[in-house]
Amino acid sequence: MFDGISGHDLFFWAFALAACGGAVAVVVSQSVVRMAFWLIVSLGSVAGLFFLLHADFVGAAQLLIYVGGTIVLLVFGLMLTASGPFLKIATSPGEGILAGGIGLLLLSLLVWTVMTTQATDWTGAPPTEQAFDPGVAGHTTRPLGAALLGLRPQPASVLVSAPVRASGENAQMSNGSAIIQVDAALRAHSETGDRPSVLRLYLPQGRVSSRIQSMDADAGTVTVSNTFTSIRGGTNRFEIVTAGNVLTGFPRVMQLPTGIAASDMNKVPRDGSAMVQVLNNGQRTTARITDWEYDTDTGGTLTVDRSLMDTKNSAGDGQAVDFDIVRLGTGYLLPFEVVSVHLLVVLVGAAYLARAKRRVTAEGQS
Amino acid sequence: MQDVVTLKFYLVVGAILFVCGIVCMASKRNAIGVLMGVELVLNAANVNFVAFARYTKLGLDGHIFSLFVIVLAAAEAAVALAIALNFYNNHLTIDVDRGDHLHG
Repeated sequence: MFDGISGHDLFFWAFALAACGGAVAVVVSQSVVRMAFWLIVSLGSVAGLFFLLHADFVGAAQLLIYVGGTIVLLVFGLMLTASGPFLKIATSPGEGILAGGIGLLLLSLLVWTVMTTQATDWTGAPPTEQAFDPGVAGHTTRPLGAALLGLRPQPASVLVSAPVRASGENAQMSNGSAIIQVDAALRAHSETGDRPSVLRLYLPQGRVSSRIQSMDADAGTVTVSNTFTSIRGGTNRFEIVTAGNVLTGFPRVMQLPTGIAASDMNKVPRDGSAMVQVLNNGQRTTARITDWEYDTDTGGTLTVDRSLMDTKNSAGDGQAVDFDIVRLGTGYLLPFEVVSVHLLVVLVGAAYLARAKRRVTAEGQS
Repeated sequence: MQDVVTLKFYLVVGAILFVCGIVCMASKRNAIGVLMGVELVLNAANVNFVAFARYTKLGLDGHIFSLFVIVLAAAEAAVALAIALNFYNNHLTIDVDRGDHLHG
């Protein structure tokens, strides 16, 4: 069994055993100081589990705030209260047995629920094509900061979607051919001789590759055939692939496919507060949408403000242009602010509570 | 190589932490011990959030919610500790069974 074990599994078992063993030790130990020690072991191992799950920022926050802050706070509270006539506070054996029995019942219920739940994405390896790719990017700090501002790479925020209908093995493009207006950088690229040959569309249903029939350098349009070579899992973006190159660039006027609901499109304001998002070799840049025209039957165009846009042309493959449309003000920044103000009020109240006068001496040792 | 460990393993770890926290909260008579049980329960929720973020389409939202939980747990520990200290000042003990003044 152990000759085929991977590094991830090995570290998982180590951290999981330490976390669960520490938690059980917290429950069974009677001394509060030992409970604090075992809690440090348990929470530190949970931070290790976070690192295994590619959540490096959360793991670091766990170590800093929990192990470095909360536990120290608890130990201080312990020191301030560990004197007086009631130092030894033990649970009676009968209560311990009762709590253990009820806990085992609850645990068996939870584990039974986990094991019998049939969900398709609960088994197997984690998805390789995620909205963010921490395995490649190596860190989640930048996407987390962007998510706080509302620039979420989640497919749920995508309005441009589904120019294909999947039916069995094959798929059909609903409007026959995709015409994508490209900017001057792409045109100059095409004039140097690197003719693009394949257009990849990343859609919620999967990745669709189709062969490019023609590319008009003057008009800046690309026409592709409507027969697809493959459909695979993926997110929403498109990229134009040549023999040895992936063209990168951002169109100022984008052709929108048909099939977007008018109610969805009407959510996009024209005052520049909506953004279109560009994924470029792992670097995410955004541009403001200044105007759009759309008709559900014939499609439409999307105009963006180029002055607020960062268009980096970096060499190498894996570059892509993203069609995610996100809106400002939909992020977690406002909830975070509300929660922090609330917590500030609560902490001031707690400080006021803690400095209240001792009443015991006046009443006599009650 | 295909990893043996999947989402369910992480969920079981979260379940064990949760049950330990619940039992700790219910059985400890020391107020600090009850607080430690609360920390364990919140950590179990965090394990589930991050595991779902990795293995399903929850994505970064799971990370952000776990950050919320971590910050809330720190503030909650501070507030509960203030209450416990005040309780200790009034009763010279932090045995939660002795806090029965509101008991009719």
